[in-house]
Amino acid sequence: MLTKLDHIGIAVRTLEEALPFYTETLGLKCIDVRDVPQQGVKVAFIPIGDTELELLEPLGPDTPVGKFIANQGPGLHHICYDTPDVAGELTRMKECGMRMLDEVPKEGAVGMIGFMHPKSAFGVLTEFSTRFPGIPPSGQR
Amino acid sequence: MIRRLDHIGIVVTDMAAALAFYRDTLGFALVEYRHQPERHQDVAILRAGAVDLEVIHPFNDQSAAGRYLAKSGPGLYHLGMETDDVDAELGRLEGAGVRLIDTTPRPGTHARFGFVHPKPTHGVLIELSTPYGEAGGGAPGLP
Repeated sequence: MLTKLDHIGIAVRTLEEALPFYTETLGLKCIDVRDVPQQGVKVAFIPIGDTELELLEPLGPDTPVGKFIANQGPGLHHICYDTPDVAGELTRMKECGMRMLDEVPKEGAVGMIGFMHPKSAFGVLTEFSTRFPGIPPSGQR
Repeated sequence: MIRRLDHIGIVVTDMAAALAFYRDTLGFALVEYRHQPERHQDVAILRAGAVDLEVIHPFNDQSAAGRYLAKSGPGLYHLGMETDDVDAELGRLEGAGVRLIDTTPRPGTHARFGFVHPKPTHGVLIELSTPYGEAGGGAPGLP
């Protein structure tokens, strides 16, 4: 079961150049910036209503987000849905015939996560996540 | 002031297949379906928590979404953010030198809305809207 839209990932060249638009110009608040080396990104977390924007700066050109930007420029990168059982959800999707990038969960910035191939989701890179215990739902921290 | 993310726009080439995925496989409720021949598209609204998925099936390249689909293929299209007063927000951004697609709001199904150009947003097409019936929202049919 999917409970809500956890976050939207936005690929940016650098946080230094992109973050001021979202904070100073749009007036949103950035609550955390951190490196997530296992995903090859530096992430800025920006709550917006009941969900969050994640600005993703690639840690190098050979990372998934680095390749995405080289290929099509910065912009909307992925959407993530929250679920209480990411492992079960990944298995269920696979059994539905979906092409998975992750068949078992891996560690993300704030939870256990897994990705589905955009080919199986009409061009949308789709992530599923179960937040770590103690991390509040998106939009509530 | 921007108060929440209202919706995410996703352009698709096959609405039946997209509904089978978002409604039946992912399990989100289909809350509205709009057949909009005058806008050259069908739109399905599915509820994912407090944010809606706006699945757009353009019929041709007569609309901005249709041209985007023709150029970039199916996928994530835009973010719809809700603001207290869309006129004031567009005016504020224009005053700050932000490039806009709409300097005055257009009438939509449930809200008045205007788009910010994706250049200043670092590649994201952002829609700002205020629901009808609120101070900055006007009323359906009014300019």
